[in-house]
Amino acid sequence: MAFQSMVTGAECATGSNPMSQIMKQFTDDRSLQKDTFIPSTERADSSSFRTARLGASSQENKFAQDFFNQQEHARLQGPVSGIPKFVAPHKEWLAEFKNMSDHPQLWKLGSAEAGMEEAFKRTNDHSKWNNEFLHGPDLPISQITEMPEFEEAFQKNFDWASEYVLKRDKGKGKEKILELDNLSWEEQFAAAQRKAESENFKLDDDLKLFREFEDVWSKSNYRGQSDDDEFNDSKAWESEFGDYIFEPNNPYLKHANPFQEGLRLMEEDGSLSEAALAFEAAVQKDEEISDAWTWLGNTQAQNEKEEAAIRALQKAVEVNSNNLTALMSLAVSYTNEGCDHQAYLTLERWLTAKYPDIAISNAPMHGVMDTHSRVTDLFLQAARSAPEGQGMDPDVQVGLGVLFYGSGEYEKAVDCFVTALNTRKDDYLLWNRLGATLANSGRPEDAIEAYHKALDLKPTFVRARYNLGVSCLNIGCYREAAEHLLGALSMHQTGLNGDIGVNTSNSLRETLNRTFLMMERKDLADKILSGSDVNQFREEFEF
Amino acid sequence: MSVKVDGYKSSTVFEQLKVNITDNEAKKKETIKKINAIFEFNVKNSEGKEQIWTLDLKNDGTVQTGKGSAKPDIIIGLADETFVELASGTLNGQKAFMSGKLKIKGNMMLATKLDGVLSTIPKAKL
Repeated sequence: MAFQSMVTGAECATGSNPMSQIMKQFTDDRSLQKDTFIPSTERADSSSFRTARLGASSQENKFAQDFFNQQEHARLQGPVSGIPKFVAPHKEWLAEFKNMSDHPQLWKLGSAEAGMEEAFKRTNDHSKWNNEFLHGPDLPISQITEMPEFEEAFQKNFDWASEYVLKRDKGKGKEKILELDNLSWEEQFAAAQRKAESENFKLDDDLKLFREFEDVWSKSNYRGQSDDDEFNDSKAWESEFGDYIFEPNNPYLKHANPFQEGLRLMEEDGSLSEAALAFEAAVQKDEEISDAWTWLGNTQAQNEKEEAAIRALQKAVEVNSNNLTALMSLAVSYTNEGCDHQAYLTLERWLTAKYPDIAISNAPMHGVMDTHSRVTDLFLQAARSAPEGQGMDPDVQVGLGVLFYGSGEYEKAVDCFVTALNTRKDDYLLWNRLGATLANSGRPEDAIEAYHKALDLKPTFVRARYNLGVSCLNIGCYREAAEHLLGALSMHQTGLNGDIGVNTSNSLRETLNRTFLMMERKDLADKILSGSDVNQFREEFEF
Repeated sequence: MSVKVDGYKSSTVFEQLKVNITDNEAKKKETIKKINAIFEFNVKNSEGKEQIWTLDLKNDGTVQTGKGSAKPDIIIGLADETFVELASGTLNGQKAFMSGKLKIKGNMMLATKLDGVLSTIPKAKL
């Protein structure tokens, strides 16, 4: 027990530097230091409980005895010459501390005890320091998170202190031991402990502030994430993105089989914007084809048009709630949009659709963190359930990768994507996901390599080109960034209506605008924002 | 005046922030109105060196190296890598704070606006 070790520590009162002992205690459990000593100074009428004495009565408390005996015991072990002499009124006490029975004399305040007194006072000064330390402005998080522990300890000690009956008897000039009530120290302590444990944490000011801060933070940043009701109700959430918006003048509406045409375009590395138009026409002809919605969504995501992708994928899942491809893509898109919780819930749907045998835990879901750990656990179960000798389901790896990416565990996410790539070497989506994870974990050079791999496999992959531009921008290679972004933007142009459609990609133009500003080319920056034809940049840039 | 400092990955982020904040007068006013605070970043790189950047989103709307002329409302101490992770998106300020990666002095509440400031930096997408 930290308290005991503190008072019985051999150097406690006698060491040349009492502070060294105190410092040790701070590292172990700062709270005890604060709480044990501060109340004693606050009892103004008795300078401290050690000097408060009263006649030894038959009700002497075992605790008090133990307490002081321990102190004396410590002193006996320490290098102290003047060993004080004791009264040992209880046989119990004698039995417990046989080694002290050589001194069955009255309590005296020896020089050692006076020294201890002094050290004790000094610790009170340290407690001020402690106080400052705890409330100091540059309080690191690690200490704040320890507050509940602190609070609990505080409770214990507070009760403990209040159970002393401190009286003073100066009559004989000799100070005598304390009297306490009947309960043994152990019992009291245990009771206090139970009480402390049963109470919810009463937050002290710092902790309250911290909670408030957390609350404000979560409310201010993430849509829906601070509100359980809202994110459990996926319908309310989905409506935030609304229905898919179709291009008004879509030539593929006249096509006999736009879905097949779209698949052909994707297969032959045609323009993603063209393919998207084909898939739009397909779902406009028949809204109930979940696969066509999926293709539309995936195409828009690859085309760096995330919102359109989410709308299409939500529709795909609405038409067929077991559409695994759509669920996985949707989870990825939510992650990109910073909708973490929705992403995790979507992954959970994917897992339960594909692995119905995996038990869903009924763990309460109170927030993003809970959902994340629950869904991660499910995916790990699925990963373990792979039959002996067979590789793991790469989709499970992808799901885990997205989960780890969401929680900022990039190294694990990289491992997952790499494992999935082992079985799907030609999956350009995976190469891009690996690249994005590397980029966001501060490894832009490695990321660029992965993006190039993705682009080798799929030259029309606008998103990978955009990501490549972002990485170049973030490492300060502005010219290369501009060229990649211009290249990506040029791919948005369709033969018929330029790149100005209803589903535009703001991210591309905005990023390009900033890149030009970084190059101190405000002329170009203004041009790109006004929606100029990217071909006029070909004179200056190669793309 | 450039805010570039060699040896810091965060440097390009601050350069970008400078452009994003100061380029457009209307946008600058809007940002100042929304944020209304002076942030001082104390960035420690992998060599253990520290560099200060100051974002004045209260009076003038400026990004500069070193301390600003006015007293900052919040001082944020963090590693170079952490700043890049924050700017690149998937590490959000809350997560960073909870995991002890941000040391904050001054008005803690202002740290909640950090994501808003950094969201102008483009992010890689899965």
